[in-house]
Amino acid sequence: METTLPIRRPKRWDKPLDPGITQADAELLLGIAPLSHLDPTRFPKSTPLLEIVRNDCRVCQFEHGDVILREGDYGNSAFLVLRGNVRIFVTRLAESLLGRKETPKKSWWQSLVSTLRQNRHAEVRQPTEVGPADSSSIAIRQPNGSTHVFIQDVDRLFSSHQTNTVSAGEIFGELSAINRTPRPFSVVADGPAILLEIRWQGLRLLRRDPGFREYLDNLYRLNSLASHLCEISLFRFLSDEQLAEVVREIRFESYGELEWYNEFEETQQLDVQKRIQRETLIAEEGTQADHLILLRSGFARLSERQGAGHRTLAYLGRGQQFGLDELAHNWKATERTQFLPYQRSLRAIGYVDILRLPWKVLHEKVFPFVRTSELPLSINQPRYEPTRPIVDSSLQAQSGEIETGLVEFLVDERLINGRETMVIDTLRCTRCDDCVRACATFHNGNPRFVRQGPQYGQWLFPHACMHCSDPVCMIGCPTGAIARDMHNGVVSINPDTCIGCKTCADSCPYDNIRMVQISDHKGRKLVDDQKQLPILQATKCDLCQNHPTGPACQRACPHDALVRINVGEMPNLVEWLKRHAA
Amino acid sequence: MQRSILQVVDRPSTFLAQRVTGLAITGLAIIITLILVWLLSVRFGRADMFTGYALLAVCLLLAFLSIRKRMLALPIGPVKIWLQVHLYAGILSLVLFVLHVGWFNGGWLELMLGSLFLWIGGTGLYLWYLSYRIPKRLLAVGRDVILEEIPRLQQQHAEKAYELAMKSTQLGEGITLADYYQQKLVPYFHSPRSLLFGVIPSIRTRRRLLRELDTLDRYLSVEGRSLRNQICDLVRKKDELDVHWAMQNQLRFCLTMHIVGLWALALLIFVHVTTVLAFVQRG
Repeated sequence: METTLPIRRPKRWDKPLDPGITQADAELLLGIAPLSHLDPTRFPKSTPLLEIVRNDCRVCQFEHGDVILREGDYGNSAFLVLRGNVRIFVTRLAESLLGRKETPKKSWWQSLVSTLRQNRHAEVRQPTEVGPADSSSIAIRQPNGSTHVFIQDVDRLFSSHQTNTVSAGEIFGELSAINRTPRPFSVVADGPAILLEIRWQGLRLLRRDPGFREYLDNLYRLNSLASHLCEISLFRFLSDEQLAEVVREIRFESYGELEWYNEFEETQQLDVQKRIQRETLIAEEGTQADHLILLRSGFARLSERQGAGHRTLAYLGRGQQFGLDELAHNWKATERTQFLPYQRSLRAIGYVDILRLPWKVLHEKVFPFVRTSELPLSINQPRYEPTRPIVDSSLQAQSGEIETGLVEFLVDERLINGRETMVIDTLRCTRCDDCVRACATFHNGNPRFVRQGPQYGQWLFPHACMHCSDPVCMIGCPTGAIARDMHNGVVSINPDTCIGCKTCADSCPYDNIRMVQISDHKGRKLVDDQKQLPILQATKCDLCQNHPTGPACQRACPHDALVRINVGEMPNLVEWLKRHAA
Repeated sequence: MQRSILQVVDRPSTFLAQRVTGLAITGLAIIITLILVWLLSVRFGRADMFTGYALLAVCLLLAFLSIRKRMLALPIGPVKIWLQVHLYAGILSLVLFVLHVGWFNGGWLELMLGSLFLWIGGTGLYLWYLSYRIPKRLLAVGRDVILEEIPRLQQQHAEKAYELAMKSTQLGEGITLADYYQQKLVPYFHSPRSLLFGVIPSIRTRRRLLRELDTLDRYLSVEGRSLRNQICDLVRKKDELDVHWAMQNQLRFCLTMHIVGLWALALLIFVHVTTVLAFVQRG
């Protein structure tokens, strides 16, 4: 019996963004600026320019008032205006206009009444509550199978809000697409408009053209970099001119896989050594410390060699830096022979975008203007020194540190992504399920989490939405129903605009979003009036954001065993773990 | 900025610090109660009314935990604080109960009232003990399981064990494993565990079965041993599920007993207080 079945190896671009784009269309598109400025010889044979345009782009048509981008959404594509105009809203649009639901906080009395008045059936919605209400200022249209949310009275908004017009030949949304950061503004079609959507994979390939790359980098340099640097304490001593010089010298780099969540489960099955080897190395211990690395987005693993493997010391996130200790030490050193290499390695977890600042710029233009007390102390006992052998450090955690195994676990399971991760101390939890009941009481009779999940020793991380730093569930929602609250960072789903497409539930690598069938108050399951198929909606933890008391699960735990915590920030976690270990 | 008392109580503290603070406050309350009872006894010759009303007030405070759990939206601090209040108020109530009742010398109503009070106190203390014991025991058992999932998982294990036992008969080495399965493992996988196991789960049965399965080795081929190993694994898993089932149900059962007693006590307290007040008014 044959044990193998030969098939064609899947290839990149097996599934183009728009199967309707022909070679002739792609050639036509390449004749339009700024694509016409791209140099085809800059692209390798495996990914030629024509194929990038053919496979990673699609032409979208928008009608007057169609919402193209929503402020706060996580982008995965940029747009080039081919014909017509679009308007960028400089001032913020109301959440309800973006297909989101503003969730006003209930008074405690309203909250009490709503929790006491429970329906006999779970997940009850009135048929009129599903889909935008008739009186709503937004509506949904579905031209050619795609879904567009449009604003009914957009002209009034154009006149009442400050907007910038983007016309043919201009690109927008590129920064969020490349870095997967929230869209900083909303964009609405002003009259019929034809746009070329370029997905991030294609955009990254197009950056191979130096001219195009410089064009995009300059946009970032012009618009965001200086303000980003100002947030870092090291640069706050510099004048505007000095900061401008630093900005000029910075290099942008990206590492790892932006779509890490697609291979997450597969990676989990790998041997731990292989898992780390898969991660892209950004800086290696023992090599010359020649750059300060600033993390712009994503997460990175800080590790050092231990025996035959690598020990994770910490994880770094947005705004944190790598190499400052070594560079400050080297700056203080009187001789070049005393210069130290990087003492630790930095690896991309998932994907990471960094800024590289050369040591010379730091030594000449930054350190001389920083107070000595603000700089890190010199490294007294370096691990890597030119004349000394390397000695492994003890695996025992020092006071104020998390156990090594737990750090490795948090990184391997990508729990560091969580901003409001549910952690249960099973050494205190009596499994009374009061947390689950409380969640159900606050959420239509259906708990929004499962008290099961990855566990390390006594620490259980149940399947509850973590309101991630990198919320991949938000990518691709066709109606913008899943969105992050701009004020408190809570990721929630608007049942009015959720069409039950499962995109978010499939994208969530932690399996924290559930599709539920909804009923009316008599318990009758709502079904599609044409196909008689059940109406599903995505549900997940919303941190009880419309209730004044905060997350019911945490509040209901009688044994102080459950907490919602930002795992991405180690000091928070250390404090909580210490308190519970005591 | 001023902080409310609940925010102060809710500040992060270690488990030990919480216990020490709670016990210290309870101790202080007991001392104050004893002094007051002594002063009232010296002044009026008896302190029954004071201890009675104090006991009633503490009982109402104790009952509030149950209400708090049902009204989570009330802005009166998290349940964990109310549980601490409940625990230490419970200790205080036992002291007040002894001061109020002394030795039983009343009628049947008082006897029932006293017995119910002791029943609630006893189940309360046992629940307190369980809240320490259960997490430790379950953590030692292994991976966490939700109570509602246990029957399904037990069924899965039983089906898998049956499959493995049947597979062994096809290996051409007789019915050794299948016979053992029929004799010893069918009751183990398909019947509920004993009542004693429900109260004090032990690994004695698991050990015995694993030892007996070990001794079958000499009659099994390499493939048969592999199947035996898989069955051993299922025996372990089933036992772990049984421990989870027993411990989690024990907690729920005791809690139900505690709450049922509470409602009965509330009714009898009402009758008792009404009767006492009626007699007092008659002079």
